[in-house]
Amino acid sequence: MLREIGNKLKQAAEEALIDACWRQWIVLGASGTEIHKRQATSIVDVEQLILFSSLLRRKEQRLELFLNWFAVVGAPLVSLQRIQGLTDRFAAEEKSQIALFAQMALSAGDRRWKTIAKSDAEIPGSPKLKGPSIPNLLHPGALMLRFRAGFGLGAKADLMTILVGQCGHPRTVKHLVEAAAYRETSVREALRDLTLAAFVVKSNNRPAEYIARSPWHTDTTSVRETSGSFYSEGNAELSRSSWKTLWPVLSFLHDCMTLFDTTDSEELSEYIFYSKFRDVLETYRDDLVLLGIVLPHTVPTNSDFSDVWTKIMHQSVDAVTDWLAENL
Amino acid sequence: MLNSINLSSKDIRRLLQAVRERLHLSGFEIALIIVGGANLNVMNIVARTTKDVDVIAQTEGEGDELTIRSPLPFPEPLTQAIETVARDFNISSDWMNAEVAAQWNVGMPDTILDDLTWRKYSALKVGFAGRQTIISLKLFAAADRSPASVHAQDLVALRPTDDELLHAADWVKTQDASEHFSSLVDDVIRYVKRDRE
Repeated sequence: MLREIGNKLKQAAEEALIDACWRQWIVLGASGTEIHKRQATSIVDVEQLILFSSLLRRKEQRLELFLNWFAVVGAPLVSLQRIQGLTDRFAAEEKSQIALFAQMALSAGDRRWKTIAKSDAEIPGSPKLKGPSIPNLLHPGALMLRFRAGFGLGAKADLMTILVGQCGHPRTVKHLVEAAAYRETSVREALRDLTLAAFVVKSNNRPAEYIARSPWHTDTTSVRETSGSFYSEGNAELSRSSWKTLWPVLSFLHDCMTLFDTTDSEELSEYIFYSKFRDVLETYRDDLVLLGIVLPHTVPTNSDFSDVWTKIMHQSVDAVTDWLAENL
Repeated sequence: MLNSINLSSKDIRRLLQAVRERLHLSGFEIALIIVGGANLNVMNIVARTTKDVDVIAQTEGEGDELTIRSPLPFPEPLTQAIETVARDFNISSDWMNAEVAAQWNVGMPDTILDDLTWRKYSALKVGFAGRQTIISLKLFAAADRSPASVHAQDLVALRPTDDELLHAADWVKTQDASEHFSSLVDDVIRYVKRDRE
């Protein structure tokens, strides 16, 4: 029974994650439109994409081909510091999955990846590239790579991406630190410079909020008055770029997948199965709710424990996969 | 789900089993001695619900090598397991506590290691205190509160013999040397003798 429930939920989480990766790779120019016509509409967080694609490559081989393609054509646009920061949140075995991309990038000539590459990583033999010779930087969803290509890798380019992707909504430092996955000091320093250069406007309220503004806008209006100005001066293409903080969504689904995988290989008791799911749910609950995902309540009930939790697990996974399908 | 105010014998066994499973996940093992209502319940001595599980001691070793010590502070993996189980069953996180371990400050019954009934829940080994220890602690608690308290009722339900009460009284009176306390102990004993039949 547990195995059956676990397999069903694992499949749902896995399919949603693979679909999310596919849709983002297509935005960057990877070949695959014949299978997946829907492209992501939000800005691609390339480090997250590489990380989750690396974790899923054994489940979906074409992700490995996309990784290999991007390692050849786009590795210089990938932040090593950021990818290491993100992988630190994973267990050692999962961290090691990134070594393949690093090895591919190193083989393609980007020496920065030497520190995390593993020479024994199995690079697919004679890989057939699955995309053009340069990533599609002009797609609204490729804004992060576009800024990096123009201004170089670093917190400033990424913060501009995230702020432009807020579609006129001001954000606090706390929000930006979480979204950018940089250290708070790096974010503050970058925001100071971006504010000085008038790419960003800082509010006077506490906590301070920041908003992207048009670089062609020269007066010193407030955050609220500036709201939307980035989009009002003919930047129609940029106005289609929206930033979604996908980390908790993707991580929740990945952790569910890992948990449900164990029901296939280990003898988990019914209690531990539900309790570990609860661990996963509570880890991400606040972040998922902040994104507007409606999760089931875990209120006391007189019904049978397993019936209640089976329902909660299904409802939770469904809520997150539905949100991802609609918002990516 | 469980009601944290009224834990039945079945509830307690289920909760202890859940703690065992969480401890097993973290690779941590521990042996504890439990007294109070949970003890009476699980050992089928008194069929009443209880609001918590009282841990009085942590043990190490086995057989002649068995030693006890205060369970406080609870080791971190145990605290985490108790809190997780409380979360999962929607009960108060103090459902398993060591308030009774304050007894270590004044002295434990000398029978604490006698007649322990062990239940092994894999990573969690639980020793349910023996009859004489329970009677001693219940007599102390009843004298400390009132002859009409739940502790006195438990004592009546235990139907202690005169010898058991005498042995218990000898120890309880060492806990408080005042004449007033000694007379309270005697009051409880009279109450129990009257109602135990």
